[in-house]
Amino acid sequence: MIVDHTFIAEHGKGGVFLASAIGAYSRARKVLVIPLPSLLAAAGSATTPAARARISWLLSPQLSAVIRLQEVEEDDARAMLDLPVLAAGEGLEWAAWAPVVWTAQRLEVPVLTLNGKVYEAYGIAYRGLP
Amino acid sequence: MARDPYAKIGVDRAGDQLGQLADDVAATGQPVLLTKRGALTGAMLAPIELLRAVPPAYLDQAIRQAGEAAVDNYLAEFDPEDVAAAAAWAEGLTADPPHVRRSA
Repeated sequence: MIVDHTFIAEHGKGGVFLASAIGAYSRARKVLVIPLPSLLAAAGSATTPAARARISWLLSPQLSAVIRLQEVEEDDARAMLDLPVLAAGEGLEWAAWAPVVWTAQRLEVPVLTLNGKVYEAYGIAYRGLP
Repeated sequence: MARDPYAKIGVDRAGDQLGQLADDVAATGQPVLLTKRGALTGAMLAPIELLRAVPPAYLDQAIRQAGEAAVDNYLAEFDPEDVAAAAAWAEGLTADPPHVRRSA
């Protein structure tokens, strides 16, 4: 499962769902993938120190076995530039979605998001809040 | 007299003794932070040469256990009913097959 910036931002606002997913994935011996641009986008949109602290918690060394940060290499970025711009929009908005779309397509795994419509446009599976 | 968490460490049963080390350090109230490179960070440092000898799978398990404890501590701040509902939802997520092309 890949976590996008909308779901990370929800965690920053005090939601329990991402932390619960981390616990469940750890017990299941699975990993959650967070593209680094998604983490940065969520951190950048955090408006309070508490929200930033919750997002920083995702980088705790204790979580390193269950959370895998997906860094964007130069070659990867070039591939992302070739992605068609569909529902994700242009400019900064596209820059937040493109790494998730690209990673989801490459790994063929669903995305954890609050905005599934973007991924529907790319034919990518997603999961949202209950 | 302060406990020496490294006193029990040998090189022949490094896997089991890493677990003992983690338990002992936790008992002192110090943070137990096992990294993928095998270092125990925080106030105390384990001998790197010992941790390098630990099988990676064991180290991964130790990190996961530390992660689960970190999650439990994090969720302890929230309403137990909310946490229980979220846990049920999260368990369902893990049932997803590894490759899913379309949303259900």
